[in-house]
Amino acid sequence: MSLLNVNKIDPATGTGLELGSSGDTITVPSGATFTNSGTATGFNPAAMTTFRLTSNYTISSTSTWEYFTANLSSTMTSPSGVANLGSVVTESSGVFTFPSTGYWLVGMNLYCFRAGDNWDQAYGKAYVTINNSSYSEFLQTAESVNAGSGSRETVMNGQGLIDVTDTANVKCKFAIYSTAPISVWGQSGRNATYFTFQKLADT
Amino acid sequence: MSTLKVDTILKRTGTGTITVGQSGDTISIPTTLNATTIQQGGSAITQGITNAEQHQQTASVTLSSADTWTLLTPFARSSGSGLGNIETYVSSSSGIFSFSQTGYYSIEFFAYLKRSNHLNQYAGTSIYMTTNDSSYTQLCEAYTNLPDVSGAYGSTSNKVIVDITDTSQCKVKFMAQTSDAGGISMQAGSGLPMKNYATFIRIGDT
Repeated sequence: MSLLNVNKIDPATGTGLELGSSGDTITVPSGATFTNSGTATGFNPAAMTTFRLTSNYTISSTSTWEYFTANLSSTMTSPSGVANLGSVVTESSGVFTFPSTGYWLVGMNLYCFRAGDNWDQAYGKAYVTINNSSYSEFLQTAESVNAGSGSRETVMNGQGLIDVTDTANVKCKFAIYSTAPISVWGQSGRNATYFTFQKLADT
Repeated sequence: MSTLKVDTILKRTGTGTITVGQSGDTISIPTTLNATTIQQGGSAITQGITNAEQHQQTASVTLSSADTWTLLTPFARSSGSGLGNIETYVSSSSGIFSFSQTGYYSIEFFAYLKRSNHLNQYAGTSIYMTTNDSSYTQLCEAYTNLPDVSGAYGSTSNKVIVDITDTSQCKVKFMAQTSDAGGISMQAGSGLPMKNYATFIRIGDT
C-alpha cells in the first residue's frame, strides 16, 4: 500500500482534478468529515417542502375549476417533529416556484367534505408550466360521495414527477372542481389539505 | 494531464483538513464510477436517487367480473410538457412490470375509477409481486365506495417498498376488482393528465 501525505491536492495544469478510475472505491474513513463548500453534483440533493392549506376553503361556484390561491403556508413548526428539508419551494397567489432545478416529485392531497349531503363529482388537478405562462394539467383525480347525516368526507390525491429545468419558468399550481358546494379542510397545525414538493435528483 | 498513483492520501502531519482543489476547480469522479462506491464511513456524502419514473395506463378497461382481481394493462411510461423521468429502469409488457436494476423501489399506484351504471358496494386496487416470475403475492390493497348515481367516481392509492433482488424473477403488477360485474371502468388514456398511474422510485441498493 502506497501512502501520500499532503495538505492540499491541486490540478497539475488547468482546473480539472479527477479522483479514481472506473471500478475504484473511494473511502471516507470513520471519523473523517467530507465537507463541501462549493457545488456537488451527482450526490444526494434532497430537499422537501410541504405546503398546508391553513383554513377551510369552500368552492365559490359549482362546476367551475378553481385554483388554490390563498391561505397556503410552508411553515412547518407544528406539531413538534415536522420539518422541511433544504431550500424551500415558495408560493405566490397559488403559483409554486422551485428553489433549484432538478427532478421534483410534486404531490397533492385534497381533504374534501360537505355537511350532510352528497356530491356527484369532484375533481382535483395539478398543473405545470414550462414558460411561466401557459399551464398543462399533469394529473387528475376524482371522487363522488353519498348523502347522509353528518359530515361526508373523502380524500383526493396524486403525484407527478416534474423536471424543473428552469426555476424562472417551470412552476406548478393546483385546482378543484365540484358539481356541489363542497369544502376542502384546511389546518395550520397538521396536514389535511396539503401539497408536497420533494427533490429527488439534479436535472 | 499528470497522474499520481497512490492507495491512500493522508494529511502531511497529524490530523486535520486535507483540501482537494481550490476555487474554480472541478473535481470529478469518472462517470463510470457509480457514486454508490464512495463509502460513507464518517460524516460524508450519500447517493441520490438514480431512478424515478411514472407509468400510466393507456386505455380504459371495464371490470367485467364481480369480486375478481383483474390485471390492469396496457401501461406506458408517462411523458409530456414539464414531466421527466430519472433514467428508465422499469418497463412493462402486458401489465407486468420488470426492473433492469436490482434495488429497493418505492412503488405508488394511483387509480381513477368510474361507475358504469351499476351499483358498486366497493371497488379496490392492489399491487402484486412475484419473486419467481410465476406466483404472485398481494402486497397491499385499497378500496373506495361509489354512490349509486350516474357518473360517480372514486379513487384509490397504494404504496409499498419492494426489494428487487433478481431482475429476471422479481416483477410487479397492478390489479383491480369491484363488487358488481361490469360496474366499474378504470379511467385511463395515453395523454395527460395521468389518471391511472404508478410512480417507481429506486431508493437504494438491495
